[in-house]
Amino acid sequence: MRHVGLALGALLAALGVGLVLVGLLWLPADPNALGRQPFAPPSLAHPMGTDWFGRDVLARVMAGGRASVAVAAGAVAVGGLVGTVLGGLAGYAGGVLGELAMRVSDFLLAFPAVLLALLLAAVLGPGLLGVTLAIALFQIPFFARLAHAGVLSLREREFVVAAKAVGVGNIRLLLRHMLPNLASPLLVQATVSLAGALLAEASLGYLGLGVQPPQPAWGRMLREAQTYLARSPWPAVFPGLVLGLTVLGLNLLGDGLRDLLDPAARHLTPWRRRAGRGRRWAAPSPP
Amino acid sequence: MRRSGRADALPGTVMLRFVLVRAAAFGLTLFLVALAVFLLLTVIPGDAARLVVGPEATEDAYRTARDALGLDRPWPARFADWLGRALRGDLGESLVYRWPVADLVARGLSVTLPLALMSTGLALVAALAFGVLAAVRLGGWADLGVMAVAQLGMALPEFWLGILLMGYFAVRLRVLPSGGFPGWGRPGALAYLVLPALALALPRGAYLARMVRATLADVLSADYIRAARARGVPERRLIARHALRNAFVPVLAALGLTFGRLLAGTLVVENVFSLPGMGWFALAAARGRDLPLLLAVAVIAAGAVVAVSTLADLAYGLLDPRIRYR
Repeated sequence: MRHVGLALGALLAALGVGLVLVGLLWLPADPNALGRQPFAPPSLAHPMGTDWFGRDVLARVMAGGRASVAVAAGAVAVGGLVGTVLGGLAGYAGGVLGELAMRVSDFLLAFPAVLLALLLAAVLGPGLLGVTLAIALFQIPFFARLAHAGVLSLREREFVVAAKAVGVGNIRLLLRHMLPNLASPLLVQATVSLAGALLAEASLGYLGLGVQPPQPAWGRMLREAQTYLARSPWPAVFPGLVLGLTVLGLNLLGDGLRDLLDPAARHLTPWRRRAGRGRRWAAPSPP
Repeated sequence: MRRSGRADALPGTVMLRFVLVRAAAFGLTLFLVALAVFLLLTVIPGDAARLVVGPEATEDAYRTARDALGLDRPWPARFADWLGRALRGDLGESLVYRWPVADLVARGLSVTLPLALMSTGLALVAALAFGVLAAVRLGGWADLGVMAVAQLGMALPEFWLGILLMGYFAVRLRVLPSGGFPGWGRPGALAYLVLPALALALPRGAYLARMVRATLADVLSADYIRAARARGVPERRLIARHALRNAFVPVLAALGLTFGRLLAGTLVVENVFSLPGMGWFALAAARGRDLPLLLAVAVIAAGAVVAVSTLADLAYGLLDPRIRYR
């Protein structure tokens, strides 16, 4: 019973991401092929039905996820790297510079994410670059805070002080002695961030940003399906369901990983009666 | 939890300093947001004058528009100009709508504010009901059920939920309007906000429910609750009066932040339901590279977040006398 959330999360996330990865090698049908019966309900031939042009929805979901997963993963990688470096340096250097870096990250948190993405899209054009950068920018403060707090607490620890005393250089101290100790919380944050980034990418795709037609993308598929709601709700159901379950899987995976990697965080899982005192690590970011 | 406060300084003085510092930080944040948006949009390759006169305009008309917009002046001068006017309440004219920005923003807020209030209210009611239930039955089936639904609620995309709600209640059952807004004063205007408010409330209610459960469960294991229980305080009163009051303090801060973020956070759902709120104008402004309108929307949205977090900090002190202001 202890790792049920972790297992369920890993399963859902693997299903969602796996669907997209399999789609790179094999698709059940050509996602852009027209001419089948439009608005077919789910059946064995078309497990998710067909859309308004008679295209196979499963094939479009599998192909449409490519951009979503790539943008989300790229944004978390860039934002995580920049945030970790900034937060780590701010914690290590301390002083005015460190304080300034943390105020900048507070400022970023206060700025609404979707609006920021819209602004970047207005500057960089509606393509993938603007969307990826906007989502990455919004990830920076989460990683920066984590790395900042981690480095601050590690700086005074005996093994770090000892390493410094025997003459280990600054860069080696940060990379070889401190970073491995921060790996677990950063991994948990990356999992939760990936979930948030997938949601953000789909929202922006719905608004018309990101991958441009005729390439399918989850967010834009939903926008188009909305127009045909009166004919059939099916094309609107499945892309959102796959996205939602993947996000749910990643969130559960993040929660489970935290419990697994940090037993000290006595986190309130439903099947554990013991109440914990707050959480030190990442939780899904507030809506 | 500093114990000094009351002893070494008059509460009034401390409070005044706190308010002054916060007000200064508030002003500085708004200034920085405006500056950042301004800088971001002045590096756009295209230019606003061309947008205003259209592609077929003569060179003369283009130059006149350029002069009228003051685009040949350096950006610090233009920013100072905008700032000076904004401080006097003049936010300029929208390039897309050719209409005073202040008026557009007021119209947008007249839709977005009620929508944000409605969805925050719905989220709070649901979060209290289900969060308390889960905390009281900690570890039981009710707890597991509530937490499972909350996890799901936080994961499902809110605009997808909006589309599904629209498909069922507006298209299939035809009990609620599917989108648009007739304006206040028309009968049944509120009905146009119900589905969007529901779609927005689910993830926020789920987040708050988790928070209510966690803080209440934490408080319920405290010594003073055990003491009250031993004194024979009825369970209902124990939770409502003794535990919830303390558990509510962190929830209030989260609630404030949720509401503040909603002023920009309604953006996607407003566009799902074609509601002419702040998000609707923001999207149109971004598409048309409408600098004056975007500046106003960004400053208001960021200002709301900073304002509510300041208010929540103040409310902290009122609800929990142990907290003193530095």
